[in-house]
Amino acid sequence: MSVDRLVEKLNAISPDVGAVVVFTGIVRSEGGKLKGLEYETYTKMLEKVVDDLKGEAVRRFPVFGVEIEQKLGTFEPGEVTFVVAVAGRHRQEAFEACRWVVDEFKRRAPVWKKEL
Amino acid sequence: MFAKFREMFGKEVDVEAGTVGELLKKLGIEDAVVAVNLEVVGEDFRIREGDEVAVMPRFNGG
Repeated sequence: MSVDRLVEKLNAISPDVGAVVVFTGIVRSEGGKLKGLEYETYTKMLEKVVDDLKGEAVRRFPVFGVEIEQKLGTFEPGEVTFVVAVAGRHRQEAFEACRWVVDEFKRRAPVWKKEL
Repeated sequence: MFAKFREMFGKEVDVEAGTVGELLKKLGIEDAVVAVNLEVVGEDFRIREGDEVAVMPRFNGG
């Protein structure tokens, strides 16, 4: 997953983009106890939740666009498994929208992780 | 965890039920999230012919 690619995509939306805020979720080792995490989903519903959140975020906050990526499969500690990136004119609205999208995704998205 | 539900009930099951609450009772599941046609619904929701119903463990990902 390339964070740079998401930032470039959002930056291309408008010449008025002045800030892109990126949240990355990373697998923790829990003090070496965890070998990794396995992520799975209900694909059709995940796609709908992602589309809904992208639309809701730009209506709710004065931001240009949102990108959401959830990786699926098995990952080791240190690997990035989840990215939310938000482009705004200024940092304030981009931070607020990013936080909202991350929280809502965790609440609404049919994603399950299993410890390995 | 979703896989665990699949192992318990198979990938798809045929159950006759009028509401989501009745469905969970017949499956013997107490704690679950149910989506009908990709939207999360409550126990009173009435299931219609042809609806896609997913019974899932509580979400914990992201």
